[in-house]
Amino acid sequence: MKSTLLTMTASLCGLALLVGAALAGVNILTEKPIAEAQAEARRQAIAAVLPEFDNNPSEEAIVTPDGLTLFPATKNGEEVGTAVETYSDNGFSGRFTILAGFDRDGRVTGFRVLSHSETPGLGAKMGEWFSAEGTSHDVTGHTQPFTLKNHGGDIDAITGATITSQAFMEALNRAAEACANKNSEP
Amino acid sequence: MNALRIIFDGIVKKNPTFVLILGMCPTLGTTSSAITGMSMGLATLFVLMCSNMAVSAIKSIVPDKVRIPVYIVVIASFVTILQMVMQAYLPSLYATLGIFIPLIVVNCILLGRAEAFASKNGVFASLCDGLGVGVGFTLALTLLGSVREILGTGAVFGCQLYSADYGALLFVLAPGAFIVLGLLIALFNRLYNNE
Amino acid sequence: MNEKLIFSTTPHMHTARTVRGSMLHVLLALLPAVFCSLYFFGVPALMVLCVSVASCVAVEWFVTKYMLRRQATIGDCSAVLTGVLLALNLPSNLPLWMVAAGAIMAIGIAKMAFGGLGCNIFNPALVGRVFLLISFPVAMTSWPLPDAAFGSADGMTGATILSMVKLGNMEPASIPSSDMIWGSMGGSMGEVSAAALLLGFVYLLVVRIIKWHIPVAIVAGLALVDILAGYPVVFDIFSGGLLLGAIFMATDYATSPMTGRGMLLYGLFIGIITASIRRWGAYPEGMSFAILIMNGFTPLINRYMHPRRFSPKQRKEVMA
Repeated sequence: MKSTLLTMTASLCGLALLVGAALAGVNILTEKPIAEAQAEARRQAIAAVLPEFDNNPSEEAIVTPDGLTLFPATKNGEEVGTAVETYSDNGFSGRFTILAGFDRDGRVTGFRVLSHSETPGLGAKMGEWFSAEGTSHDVTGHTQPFTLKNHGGDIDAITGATITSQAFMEALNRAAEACANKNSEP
Repeated sequence: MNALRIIFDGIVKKNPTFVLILGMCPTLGTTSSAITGMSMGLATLFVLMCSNMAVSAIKSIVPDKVRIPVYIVVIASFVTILQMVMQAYLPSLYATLGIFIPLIVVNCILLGRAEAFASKNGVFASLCDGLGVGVGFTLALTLLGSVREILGTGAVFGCQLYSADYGALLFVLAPGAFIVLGLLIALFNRLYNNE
Repeated sequence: MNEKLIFSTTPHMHTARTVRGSMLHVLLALLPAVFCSLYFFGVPALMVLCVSVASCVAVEWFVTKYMLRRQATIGDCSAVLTGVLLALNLPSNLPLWMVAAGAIMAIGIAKMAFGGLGCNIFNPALVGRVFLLISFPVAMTSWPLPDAAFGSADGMTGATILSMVKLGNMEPASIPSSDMIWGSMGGSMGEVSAAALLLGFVYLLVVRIIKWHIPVAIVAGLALVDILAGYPVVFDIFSGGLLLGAIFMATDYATSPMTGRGMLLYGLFIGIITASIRRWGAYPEGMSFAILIMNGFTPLINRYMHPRRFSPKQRKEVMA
């Protein structure tokens, strides 16, 4: 078609209107499923790192000043533990976030790596490495402070990925600290 | 021109990855495993078919001078729709491919096919072209992803072929993408341009 | 085609010296370092060396014969040299199949895929080493501690002094410098004994295979960053693969600049990049990365620092 000011304006406006309407329609249709999918993913992650609970921790979430999110979990009104979304900026390839669960005494009940960009086969193994049952690098049941063996602690670093391991300890310590602070306050 | 011919051309003669060398960003970025490569290919295939049809349908009412913005808007809206639907109904796949989905918009294959084919041909022919090129892209990405995953981790599609201890990590990292892609292009040339 | 015309890539030299001759001189210069590594690391080092050289030669022979269908080029000894250099860049306890994989990468990808000797942009032995370092980081970073007794295959393993310093487990000043000069420390086969490497350097200078520019500029670049960062310079020069890289890897003809000025610039940046990676990067050692990065810049350096054949005035006349 010939390009005149009128046809160009009309076609662009018409297209924008049409596309806008279509996107708005799809958005209305998918808004609820998206929110549900996200809430479900979070609930599953929290359930995986904590003992059984019957409240909705996401609704009672507390955000600390240093950017951690605490999800307190209760059963029959009694506290069973806290899931903490924590992070470290000192990973081999920058920030990674983990969700760590702590019981009332500050023992780790489980954790899950939420996002990371560590090296595949090395730092990326942190999920399995630090939860491998019956090894000297299983952090489950461990309390603060989390320290690697080569820094005088009792946790084995991932072979070949000391930097990631150190950052992982930092993230756990930060979470445990936030958890303890929360418990000390009424 | 029959439909099968167009589809076949898209897969082999005009293979976007090995012959046209288009859409390198998703090709290199998403092929660290066979499954993510294939998912990216399928997502692109869907958008490509939709955008080719739409562009072909509106080609007679689009003024020449604004055709590129029009194509981009069409492509971008299909990508956004795909993204929302995926986020709602396939959240785990979205978690893997999340950041690459918006990048489909800037994949030159889509604009290239809109400009080179859909704006000159009928709706059905354009659909076939989208299908052919999209399948060619999907196959190429799956192949690239499989080779990288096998060499890098000893597994493919979740099936362990040999111990991961023997896998060369380089192949699942960025440099491996370039090396494997180069070797595959050389192989493809050898097989199809053997004069 | 006229058989008397020989087409080849730059640099061209009018000399009686052959490629084979140069390669043999470099191999001769490497002998002290090779003997040192065999002495310190024993039989495993010999195995790594043999596998590395054999697979490099085999890959080159296979590619030229069956894939390029050209005349065999293994006679020029460049594959042997690549094999020796690759071996000297590896820990002596590396599984032998990994050594062979590194050789395939070095010769197959970094050299033959680019067109063979003289066409390669990156130093083949270093590509092989970096491939192994990134692919098998655990195997490539646990070094056997040198043991003078032959045949002690299961000696202790440990990190290099550079990585221990990086992790803050060791003070640079606490390491006796005699250890670094003679080689009683953990590391790749060829990087442990500074004295043997320097002996090779002197030999190469005497027979005029290499010029002094690149190695000296590398050390200068490294020292510059170290002084600015307040880090012990001498420790940094004698630790890790700096001397091996500066003398034998960075000076490779095909991948380094041709003019003196270009060489100085090239070397200076290798030194600066190495020191920067060592001080602030995630890896404890950055020599191989630095050389590969500057290999990539070599064509650009050659382009802007080519030898001046005519004075500017004469040149104008020629152009006119």
